[in-house]
Amino acid sequence: MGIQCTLRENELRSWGRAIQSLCLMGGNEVQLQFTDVALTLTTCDDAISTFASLSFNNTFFSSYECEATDADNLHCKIPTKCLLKPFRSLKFLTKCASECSIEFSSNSDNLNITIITKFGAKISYSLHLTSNTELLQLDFDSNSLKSNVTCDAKLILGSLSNFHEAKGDLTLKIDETKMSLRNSITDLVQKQGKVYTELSLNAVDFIEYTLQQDCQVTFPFREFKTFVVFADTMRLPVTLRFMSQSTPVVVSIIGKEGTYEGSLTLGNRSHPDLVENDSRNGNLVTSIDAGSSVTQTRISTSIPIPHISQGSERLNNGSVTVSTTNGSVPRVRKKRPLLFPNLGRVIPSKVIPLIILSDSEIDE
Amino acid sequence: MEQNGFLNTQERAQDNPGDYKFIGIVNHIPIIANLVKSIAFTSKVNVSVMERGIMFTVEEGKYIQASVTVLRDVFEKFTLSSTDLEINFKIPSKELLDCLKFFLSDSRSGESFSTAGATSSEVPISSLKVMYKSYGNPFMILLDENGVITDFQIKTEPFENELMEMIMEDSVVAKLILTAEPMSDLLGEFEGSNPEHIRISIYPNKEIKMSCDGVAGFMTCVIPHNSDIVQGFECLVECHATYKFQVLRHTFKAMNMSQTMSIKIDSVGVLCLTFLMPAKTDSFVEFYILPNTLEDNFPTDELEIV
Repeated sequence: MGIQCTLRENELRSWGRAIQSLCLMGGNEVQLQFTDVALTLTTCDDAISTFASLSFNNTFFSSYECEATDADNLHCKIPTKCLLKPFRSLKFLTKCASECSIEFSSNSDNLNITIITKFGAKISYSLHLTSNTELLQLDFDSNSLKSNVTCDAKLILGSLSNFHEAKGDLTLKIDETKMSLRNSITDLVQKQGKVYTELSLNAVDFIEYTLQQDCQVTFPFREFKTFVVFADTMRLPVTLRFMSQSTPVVVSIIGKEGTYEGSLTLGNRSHPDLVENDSRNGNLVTSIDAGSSVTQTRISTSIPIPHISQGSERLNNGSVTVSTTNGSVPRVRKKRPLLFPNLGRVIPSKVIPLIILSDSEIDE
Repeated sequence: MEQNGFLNTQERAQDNPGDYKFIGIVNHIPIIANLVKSIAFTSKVNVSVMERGIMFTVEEGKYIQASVTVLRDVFEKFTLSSTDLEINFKIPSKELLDCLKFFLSDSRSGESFSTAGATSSEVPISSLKVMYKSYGNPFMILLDENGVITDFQIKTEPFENELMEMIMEDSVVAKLILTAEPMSDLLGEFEGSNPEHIRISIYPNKEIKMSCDGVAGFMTCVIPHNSDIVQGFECLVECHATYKFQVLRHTFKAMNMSQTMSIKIDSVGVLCLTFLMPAKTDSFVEFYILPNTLEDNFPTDELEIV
């Protein structure tokens, strides 16, 4: 049982961009799942707080031969760095490559990729697969998220360019008239000099703006921006679905003529911004008014910070509670692994209903 | 005032041109600077001044030898002492490149940092004068830019006589002539795999194959003999040889600058890569690379090294 598919020059560039973006958003492995209808690539980061998926219909390819059906679960996993190698250089794919074929067989330990150049040379890769064969699936229905907004990727990307760093978390606050984005400062030790940016977008700038209720959600910045950059290069609109602070945020795109779809499921982080509004104190860096409004504040040393020992305040894909005592060594709860309660569980092999974990269950 | 603006006062009043064994004046500074940079992967470079021109030669670890030959025709003036057939000395690469750094570029077009973005009226008029007096004296470089003269003196050392003699013309078993740019793109794909070794196989009337085995898996690149980038393909017998990829990587800079290149392999597996530079200079860069192991006594019908 196997698959053989071919990409021509026109699709190859899109495919290369998709692979590069997917590898940036995920962790160490990418899963390829093959059916007679589509080829799906999925990855999740090590903390299981982001889950990215790109599904290419058989119509995306110039030829597609696959004997497997959905029930056959034909899939493989490959290290991210290995999958990236043939598609590392977009310049090479654009300038030299004319065709790319992908072959996989269920009884093989390798994924074979062959690129044929415009001048007749042929480059073949035989990439080793990982030994982990568990099928990764996210059991979550994004249609259950009742609020959704759709806009050109360029609009969001232009807004994100106002942020100094694509690090940490991004908070999205939305009501009937506007959507605001702001970055979260969660690293108190290295807070000095950081720029706090808040940006508003008017509802009229969106293609679709459906709200069940006003809400505020917080999610990882870097992966979100990577996905939006990919959508922008493909010139596609981006849809954000969300509902409340206890549900994930799903960002999705649909390719031209529906030949491919992409989605990014982001864990909703419920921790408070450690720099409170009333303690934000510093120099106003810029204030731009061009349809949207942007406010930026640079945090200065005058802000009093609680006494926290090094390494304990860094928020890194987990819920960390920091407590301080007067004059004594602060007691800090250990960093929690790697499970976001409101993302649910990313399940291997079997389909299990979404499990919501409470904080007490995390402690156990 | 002397030709090209070099004033006599810059050469010290007590010297006269007859004291110098070699004097050369050249205007194509950026191209020559980039040629020298393409082989400056060692700390020292051997300089040989001959009737036909100047040759810069480097050698690393007895695995690779590279040379740049700047032909006499490139020079506006080329004066070699009548008593010397050849003048040899060694100078440090870093200092030589420091002298020429403002004319170095990274682009295939050869546009240098000194001329990048400049309009035709702003491009500085530059010329280079190189001089060497005698053994023990420094190698002198006078750089003239619109009348501003910079004087460099680089200390010389004795020429390294133990360079490997890479004679292979009579024993060449395969010779290919290819367009350099696509070859550079193809070898650039190998860099992504970062292999330790690369195996080159040439099959008569068929193809040249390059392959490597890395942590990610196996990678092969096949160029058929009738590919658009192959301008000439001669192969007497099937031959295979393996080379260190880190050593082959030293050729990439020259490959990026070149338009046409040739690949030759001889009967013991020595690889010779020659890169012809753009027509302005008629210069070329040559690399000799030894295979991973040398074996004696190959069967003539099937040569294989490693």
